[in-house]
Amino acid sequence: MSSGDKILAEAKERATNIAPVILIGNPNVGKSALFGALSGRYVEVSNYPGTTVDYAAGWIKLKGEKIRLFDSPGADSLSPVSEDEIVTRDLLLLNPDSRIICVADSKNLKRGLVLLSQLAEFGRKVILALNMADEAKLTGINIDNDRLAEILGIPVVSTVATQRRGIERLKEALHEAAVPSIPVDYNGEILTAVNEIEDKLGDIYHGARGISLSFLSGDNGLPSGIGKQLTELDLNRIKQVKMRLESAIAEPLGFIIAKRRNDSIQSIVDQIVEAKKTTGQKAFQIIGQLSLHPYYGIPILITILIGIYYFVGVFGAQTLVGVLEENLFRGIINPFFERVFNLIPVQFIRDLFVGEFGIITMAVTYALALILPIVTAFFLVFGVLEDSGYLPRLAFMVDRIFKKIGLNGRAVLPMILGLGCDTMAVLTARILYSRKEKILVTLLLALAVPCSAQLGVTLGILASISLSAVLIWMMVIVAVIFLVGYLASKVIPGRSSEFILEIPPLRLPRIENIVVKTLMRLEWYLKEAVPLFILGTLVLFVLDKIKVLQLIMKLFAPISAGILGLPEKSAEAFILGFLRRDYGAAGFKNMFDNGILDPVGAIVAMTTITLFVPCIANFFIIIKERGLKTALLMVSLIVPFAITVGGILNLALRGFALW
Amino acid sequence: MVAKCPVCGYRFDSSLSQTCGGCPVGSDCERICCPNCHYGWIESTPLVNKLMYLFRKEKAVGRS
Repeated sequence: MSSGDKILAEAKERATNIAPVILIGNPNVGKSALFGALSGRYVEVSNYPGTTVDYAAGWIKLKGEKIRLFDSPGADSLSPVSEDEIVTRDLLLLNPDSRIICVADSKNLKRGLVLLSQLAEFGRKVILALNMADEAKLTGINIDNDRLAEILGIPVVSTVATQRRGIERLKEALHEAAVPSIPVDYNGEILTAVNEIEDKLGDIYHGARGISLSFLSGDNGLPSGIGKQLTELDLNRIKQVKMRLESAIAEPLGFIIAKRRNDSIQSIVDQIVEAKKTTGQKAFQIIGQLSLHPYYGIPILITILIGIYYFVGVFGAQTLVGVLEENLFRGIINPFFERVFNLIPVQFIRDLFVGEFGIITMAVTYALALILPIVTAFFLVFGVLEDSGYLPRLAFMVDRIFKKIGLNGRAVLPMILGLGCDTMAVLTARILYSRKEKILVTLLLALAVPCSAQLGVTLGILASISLSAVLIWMMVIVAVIFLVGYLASKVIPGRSSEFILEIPPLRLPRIENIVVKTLMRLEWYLKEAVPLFILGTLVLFVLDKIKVLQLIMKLFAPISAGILGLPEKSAEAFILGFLRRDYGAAGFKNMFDNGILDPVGAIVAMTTITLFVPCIANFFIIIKERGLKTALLMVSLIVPFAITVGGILNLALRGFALW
Repeated sequence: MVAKCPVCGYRFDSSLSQTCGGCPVGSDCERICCPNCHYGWIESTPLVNKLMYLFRKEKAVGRS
C-alpha cells in the first residue's frame, strides 16, 4: 500500500472516529504556511491515489486532543475543472464530518468567498481564515471581520500565517464552526433541476446540493468511487434533467451558476470591504466604469483606436518596416542572396529563389520584412488590451450594439470574437442549433471578420497611407458587418440570448505578460503563415512559368481595371489573398510602395481583400464542416460580394471625388 | 489545465477543449477556444516557455 493509499484509508477510518480538519483555499493564499503553523513540523506529503497531485497530512492539537489535519490542493471551485480541484472535492466528500478552515487571501476576499459559498452548498461546517491580513492592511484594504462573521454566521479570523499571527484564535474558533449562510439567487429553472438531482443524490452523498450544482456546472461534477454508486436508472434520470436544463438555457450552465454565485458574493464584499485606493487605482476604476458607458465609452474607444493607429500604423508599418524592408532586406540580405544564386548557372533555380516570385525575394521578404514588424506591433497592442481588461469591455459594447439590431446572441458571438482565428471560429458554429444558423454564421465569419493577424497587417498598411484611409476601410467593413448582421437577424429568428461576461477591473498591464503573449502569437503566426506564404509564392511562380498568370491577369482585367480601378498586376495579390488575406494585403502594400497603386487603389484593394475568404485553411474547414457544395456556394457569393463592395467604393472615391 | 478566458472570464479545462478538433492547420496548433464566448487564444507554447524559463533563470542569477 502506498503512502497515499494509507492516508486515504486512514481518512476513511477517521471519518468514523474523530472528524479531521481540512484546509481548503484558492491557490497561493498561504494555505501551506497556515498548515505548517497549525500542525508543527511533522508533515507527510503524498500523491493522492490515481493522480499526480500532492497533498499534505499532519496533526493539530485542539484542547489537548490530537486531530488529523489535511492540506488540500489549491482550488478556485468545487465544481472541478482540474485534477487539483477534483482531489480537493473528493477529500471533502471522503470526510463528511470534517471541519473546514477555508483560507482566503485578505487582498482578494471575493475569490475566497466564492469557494466558501460552495462549501455552504456542500453543507460543511466552516471557519474562515483571512490570511495575509498584514499585506491587505498595507495595500489599504480594511475588512470588517465582525460584520462579515455576522452575515456568514461563522467565525472569521484574521491571520498572518508566516508570522504565526492569529493561529491560536483560529484553533479556538474551530469549535464554533458552522455552515455558512450565503444565499445565492439561482433562477427558477436551475433551482428546479437542482432539487430534482438533490433528491436522487441525497441518500448517497452528504452535501448533495453542492454535488448537484457541481454536476450541472461541468463534466467532473459526479465523484466516482466515493459513496454508494448510483443506479443506472437514476444516473440516466439526472443526466436527462441536465440535458433538459441545457436545452432551456442557451449559455453554459457552469457560467450562469458561477455568475449568480459571484453576484451574491459581490453584494457581501460591498458591505464589508473598504479599500483605500491610490490616485492611480481610482483613475483606473473611473476609466473602467466609463469605458462601459453607452456614450462615454465611445470617446475612450476612439482614443484607443488612435493609439493603435500611431503604434501599429506609424511606428510598425512605417518606421519598423522602413528599417527592415528598405535597409536590411533590399539593402543587404536580398542583394547578398542574389549574388550567391547568380553563381548557379540554372536560370530556373535563380528565379525560384531570387526572381520576381522568388522564395527569398518575395515570400521571406514579405513575411519577415513587411508583415512581421506590423503584426509584432499589433500583437503588442492586443496583449495590452487583453491584459488590461479592456477586451471584455469592448466585447460588451459591441454586443450591446448588435442586440439593438436584434441579432441572436449565439450567432453574433463568433462574429465579435472570431478576431482570434476564423478557422477555429467556424468550428464553434457547431454549437448553433439549425443548419441555417450554422451556414449563416460561417458565411459571416468568412466574409467580414478578419483574424488578429490579418487585422494588424491591414490596419498597419492602410495607416501607412493615411488616417483617412483607415477610417474609410473601417466604416465600409463595419457597414458590411451591420448589413449582413441585420439580414442575419431576419433570417435567424429566436431570442437574443444574454451575453454573460465577467468584467474584470481595468488594470495596468504587466510587461512580462504582454511579452509572453506577443512571443506566443508570433511563434504561432510564423509557424502557420510562413509556409502558406511560401506555397502562395510557388503557386505564382508556377503560374508565371507556364504563362497562365498573364492569362489570369487578362481575364481578370475587366474586374480589376474596369470595376475596381486597379492595375492588372493586382490579380497576383488576389491569388495570394486567397491563401491568406494578409499576404495578399502585403502584395498590395508592395505595389503601393512601388508607385503601381495610388492611395484610392490601395484603399479599394484592401477593402476588397478583407471581404475575401480569410485563408485556405478557413476554406478547407468550411468544406469539412458544411460540405463542398456549400463551401463553393459561399465562395461564389463572397467573391462577387467583395468585388461589388470594392467597385462601389472605387466609384464613390473616384467618381464622386470623395478622396 | 485550468484556463480562464481573457474576454468573458469563463474557467474551463483547456485540455478537454474539443473545439479545435479537425482543423486543417495542424494538430500542433496551440490555440484554445473558450466554450462560452468562442474567443481563441494561445495559453503557452514549448518554445516560449523555454525562452521565459531561461530569461527568469538569468534574472535570478543576476540578482543573487
